[in-house]
Amino acid sequence: MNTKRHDIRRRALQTLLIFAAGSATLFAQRASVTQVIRLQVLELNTIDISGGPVTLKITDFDPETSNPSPAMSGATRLVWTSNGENRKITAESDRSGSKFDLRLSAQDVSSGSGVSSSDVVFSDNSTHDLIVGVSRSAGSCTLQFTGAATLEKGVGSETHTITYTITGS
Amino acid sequence: MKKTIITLALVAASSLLVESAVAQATATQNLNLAVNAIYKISTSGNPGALTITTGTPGSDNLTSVTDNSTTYSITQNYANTVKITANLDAALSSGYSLSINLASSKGTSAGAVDISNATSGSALSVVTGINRGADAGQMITYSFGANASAGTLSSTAKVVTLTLTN
Amino acid sequence: MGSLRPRFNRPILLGIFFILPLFLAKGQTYGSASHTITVTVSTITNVTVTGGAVSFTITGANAVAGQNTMSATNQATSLQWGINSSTKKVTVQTNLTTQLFALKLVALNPTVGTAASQVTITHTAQDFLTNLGRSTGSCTLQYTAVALASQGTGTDSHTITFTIATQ
Repeated sequence: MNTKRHDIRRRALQTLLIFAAGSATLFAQRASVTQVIRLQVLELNTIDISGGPVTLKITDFDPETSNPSPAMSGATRLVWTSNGENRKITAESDRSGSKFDLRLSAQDVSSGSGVSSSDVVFSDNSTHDLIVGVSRSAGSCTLQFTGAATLEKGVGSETHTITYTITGS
Repeated sequence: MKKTIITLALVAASSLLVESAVAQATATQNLNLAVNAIYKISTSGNPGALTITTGTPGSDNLTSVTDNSTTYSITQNYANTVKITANLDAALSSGYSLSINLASSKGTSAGAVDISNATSGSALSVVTGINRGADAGQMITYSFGANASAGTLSSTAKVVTLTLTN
Repeated sequence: MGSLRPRFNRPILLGIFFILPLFLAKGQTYGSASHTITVTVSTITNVTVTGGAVSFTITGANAVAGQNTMSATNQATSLQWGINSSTKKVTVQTNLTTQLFALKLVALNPTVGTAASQVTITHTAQDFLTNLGRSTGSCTLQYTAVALASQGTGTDSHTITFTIATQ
């Protein structure tokens, strides 16, 4: 009699345990795992020129100035991207001296991506600010070159290699 | 003498009958086996650092970087409608983006899912309709993007949680 | 079984008178009796399960992500037997004709006999222990439940029967 009662109790306990185990699953119907990822963005400054080599041909005479008429370029564009703070774009010629005048103006600088500095005159190979106040932006501008000469400089040809650099202010 | 032999034969026969009657014995045992609902998910580890170092001049969108060096594995026996969601511990700042793409052979991958703003309360489904069974070593692909206008970002650890749920 | 009743007539008395002293010299027998005792030992086969019912559950702790097969073991009960006849074996079977999940059994550390390799329990009796001679013995019952995740959830309630049979 006692054994029978004991068996009944044991079976009841087993049933309860199975039910409890089943119920627990209702509240644990998910599993998660985590991954740690490390994100980083380094300072980067990229710059490029579109439009190819520029040729300025001075062929006309300006009666008003009694000098040859300056020649101007048009379609060359400078594009850049910088995620740094307060950077500037400089321009520099590889020629230490030049016979003819070469002037550069950055025009139509895209909004919010810097400010055009004053026109650059490449009389030597010194570095000149072209665009200042470049911060966290992608920008572009038109590069307008002007070549000029006086009659006294005679004829000839000069080739400049202009290098644009994004640098700290 | 004859009577004795017959008696002995009867005794031997009866003992054989007794032996065959009790030569077999049995015992029984009740056994209950239950299989509960099971959800298991694991990954092979943490991905490498996602570091943006380049961009295209003139474009605010820097060149994104990807990592597919890790995998995940799952086992579930609950249903054929289970899914995996993904979320970050905290949303990314504006100008940065993180997407995750989980390959799957037991369910349908949602492809690259932008989880930049997905947090624990707004986890996004990345795999759906997962059938019962196991799926091992499926590729996890992270893609990290940034805008130049967002500036630089010093090395930052983010926690991505993948949840296998019904 | 009857008692001797000496009959006293003359020749016997003479015999007693003359021969008895010879017997007295060697020891005297007053009577004898005999009977037959037959001891019969029947074939005894006994098998019992100790430890009661078994209840176990496959949970997440028994699963590995990426693996379809999940298993759990239980070795809380044991089997005891006593045999006094020729070589016997123990078979095992379940009452279930259709099982959701596989249930396997192996006899651990049998004190006598030979344990079969892990037996998958079915409705058909299968040898579980063999070469049991005239002795008592015991072993631990190690059950292993195997479920595939693709099979889903569920419950199997078995009545496992162990039978001692002639080998």
